[in-house]
Amino acid sequence: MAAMLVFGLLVTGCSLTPLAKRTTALSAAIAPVVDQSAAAFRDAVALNQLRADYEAVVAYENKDDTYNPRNTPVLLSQKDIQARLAVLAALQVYSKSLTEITKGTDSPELDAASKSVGSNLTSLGNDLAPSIESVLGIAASPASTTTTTVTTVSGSTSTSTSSTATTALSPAVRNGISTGINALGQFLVYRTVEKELPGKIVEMDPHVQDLCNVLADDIQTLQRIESRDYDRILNLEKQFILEDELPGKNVNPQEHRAEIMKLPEIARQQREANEKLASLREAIDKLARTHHALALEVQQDNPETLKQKLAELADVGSNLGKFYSSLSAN
Amino acid sequence: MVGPPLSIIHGTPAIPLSPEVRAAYEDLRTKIQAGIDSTMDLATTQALNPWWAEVDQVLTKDDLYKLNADTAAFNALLQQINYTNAGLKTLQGQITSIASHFAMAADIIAAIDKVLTLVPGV
Repeated sequence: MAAMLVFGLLVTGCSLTPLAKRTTALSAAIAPVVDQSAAAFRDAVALNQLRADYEAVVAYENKDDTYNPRNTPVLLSQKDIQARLAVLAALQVYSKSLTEITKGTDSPELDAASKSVGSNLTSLGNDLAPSIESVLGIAASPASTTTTTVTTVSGSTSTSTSSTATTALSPAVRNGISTGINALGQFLVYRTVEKELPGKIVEMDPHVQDLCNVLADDIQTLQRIESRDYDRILNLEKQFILEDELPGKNVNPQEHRAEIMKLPEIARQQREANEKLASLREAIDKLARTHHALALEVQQDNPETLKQKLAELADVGSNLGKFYSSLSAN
Repeated sequence: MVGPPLSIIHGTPAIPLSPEVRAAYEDLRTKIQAGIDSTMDLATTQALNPWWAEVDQVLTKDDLYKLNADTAAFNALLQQINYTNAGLKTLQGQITSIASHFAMAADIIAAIDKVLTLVPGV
């Protein structure tokens, strides 16, 4: 029985392993996008606020009576940022669910239930043991005890025989049964996953592609704004420095040098910010490609080579082997 | 000194900008920036900075329009993703119930075992 179940799992469940690998890759591709996007939104807003501080100086120097600090425009409101973070968080939930579902055949709950079934078969094993042992090719357990009692009462003799099912199934047989049950559970989980999951991933793919496109556009817009914010800060710094050099200003030379030394530092920050956003856009692109590969994986009925199929079979067999080894010997 | 084409700046361009108009403003900003970067003259800097700010204002308006459109798109996508996530949660529940059914089978077998042990004749 157990051997048949294991065989059934190997035959039908072999594409789950690459699926699990793809979902793990997806999870790895999402993490940097979520982290870096959140940082990018915060950085862009902070820089834009710094620029607004510079603009305040210009407004006062120009005696611009329309200037009111309360009317300073906001690049992204809390609500805008929240909309972006919420959709990224939902994407993370999606990825986590996929990972958990595709790892469903390797579940501790299933392992515990399988062990429990095997260890509870002591009495039933009296009838089942010989056939199970025969299937598994395991030596019969010597553990059952038979007692024959002869009693003589008033010249007549009666004979009674009683059997005690102490340990009707040997540990090896019990473990074999548990492993078979575990294989059946894995098969049922796989069948459920195989039936339901591909449709959901394929259905999700255009939404993930849309999300990646919008996110990439969004980051590109922020990149343009940031670049101009840095340029403006550099331009105004330059103007302030040149104004400080006018005759009669009497600016402290040390303070003047410190102001000049700010310029390369700002330029460095501009370059780093630009590189970070470029790297984020690459991560978004990778995420789109990774999800699309996952969608293709579940749509095609396993186009892999025989070699890979055999490797997957070995993986599944190895998982069952690990489960078998985890069973106690008593 | 760079002379910005006043016809472009003084007009009120429709937002969102068409790609051609956007490219013209980007090009103008790049040229003004090059003018600022290539001088140490205060008067030139003071003259170019306000022009730079005017052109930037048009580009920023266009960018903010795009960010707002993105916010709406993100909200729509959130609904789609949440819908899929709800389906995945149901699937997770189905998988968990497979393990729980096995656990239930183990309980029943244990109960049968107990009956057989206590009532050997059954």
